[in-house]
Amino acid sequence: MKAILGRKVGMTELFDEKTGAAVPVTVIVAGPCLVLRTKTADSDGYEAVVVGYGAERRYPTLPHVGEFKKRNLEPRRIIKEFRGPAPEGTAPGAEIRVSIFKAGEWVDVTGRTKGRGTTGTMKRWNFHGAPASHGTEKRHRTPGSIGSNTDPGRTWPGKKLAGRYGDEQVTIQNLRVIQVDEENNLLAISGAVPGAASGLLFIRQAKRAPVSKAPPKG
Amino acid sequence: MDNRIALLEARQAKKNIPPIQPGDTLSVFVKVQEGGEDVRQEKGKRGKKEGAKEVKERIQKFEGTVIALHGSGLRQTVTVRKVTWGVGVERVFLLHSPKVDRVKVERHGKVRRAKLYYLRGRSARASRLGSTDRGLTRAAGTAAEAAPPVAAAPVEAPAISVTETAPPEQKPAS
Repeated sequence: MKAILGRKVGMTELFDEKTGAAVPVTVIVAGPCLVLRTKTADSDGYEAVVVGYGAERRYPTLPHVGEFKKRNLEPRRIIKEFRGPAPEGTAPGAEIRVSIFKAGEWVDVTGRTKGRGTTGTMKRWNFHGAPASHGTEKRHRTPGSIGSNTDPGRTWPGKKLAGRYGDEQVTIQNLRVIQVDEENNLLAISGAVPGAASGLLFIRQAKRAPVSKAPPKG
Repeated sequence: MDNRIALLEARQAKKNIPPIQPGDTLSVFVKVQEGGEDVRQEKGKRGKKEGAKEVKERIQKFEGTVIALHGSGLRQTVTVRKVTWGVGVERVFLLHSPKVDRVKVERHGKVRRAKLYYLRGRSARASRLGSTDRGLTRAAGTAAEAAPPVAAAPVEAPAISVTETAPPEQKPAS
């Protein structure tokens, strides 16, 4: 499976070379990812590639460094496993670079959304709130009723209420790779991607790429 | 802006865009496509092979007053306003878009603000801008006609002049 780890840089617009249309784009600095080992059905019961990514942290733990040391590799900050069969030529010590992706391909991007802390029902669950006028007083953003009276006499489990929002893993499927800059390890991917700038992202070949080969218009 | 973003933008940026100021009279040469696949496909059939008309591209000029500049770098836009057949027409162009062939500053207008939205409410005559080329100080059309030499007031002119020597508005796009 084609996959790579990266960090969000920010957003801009680029022009589509064919149509001349301006495409909103997220710039991601991705890889190189260092291959630590490959897992196979024989060795582990499933197939995967284990990679390291990023500059080593200042105070790494010994077990973390050990994973690299025992293979005589430079330590990296993050160790992550890509599920799926290893692409050809993937051996410990090899590097996965942005060049695995080509402009025009479809990818899924996984990241952690910005944490929003304690949030009301309007932001968190898209409740409509109460009218702004017509006699409404001090109750413009309240959730309203949260259940019936004596029967059942309690609030149903799972009721959407205020609470912590954000800082959760989200995958955006089927974003198009617009540009690949091998020299600077940059990817430009159409559309928005979860998380803040410098947030860790996991970019993989799209699981359910659109059937139509033609890129969307505009 | 992160310079890694600037790096990608720089690759598509045009280098021959002249400095543009609000109030300038600007000619924008837009590439227009005519005929071709899009028209055929709408009528059903995959008209790609048989009888697909050739896409003709020609260049159309849009000339008017710059009433606003927006953004910087690759995303910079210019809003150009003109009045045709008594109807005001405004178009917003992405200056770096491949669809914009080139732009040409025809005249500099004497203006005192960055956004000239006030021109919208005016008649064609009242919306004429004094030209810095003639050294006029008043924006109103009537005054402009009165006496060009007298109006070349040395007091205001240098401070807000919009001549070619004025620094290009948004150069340092880091």
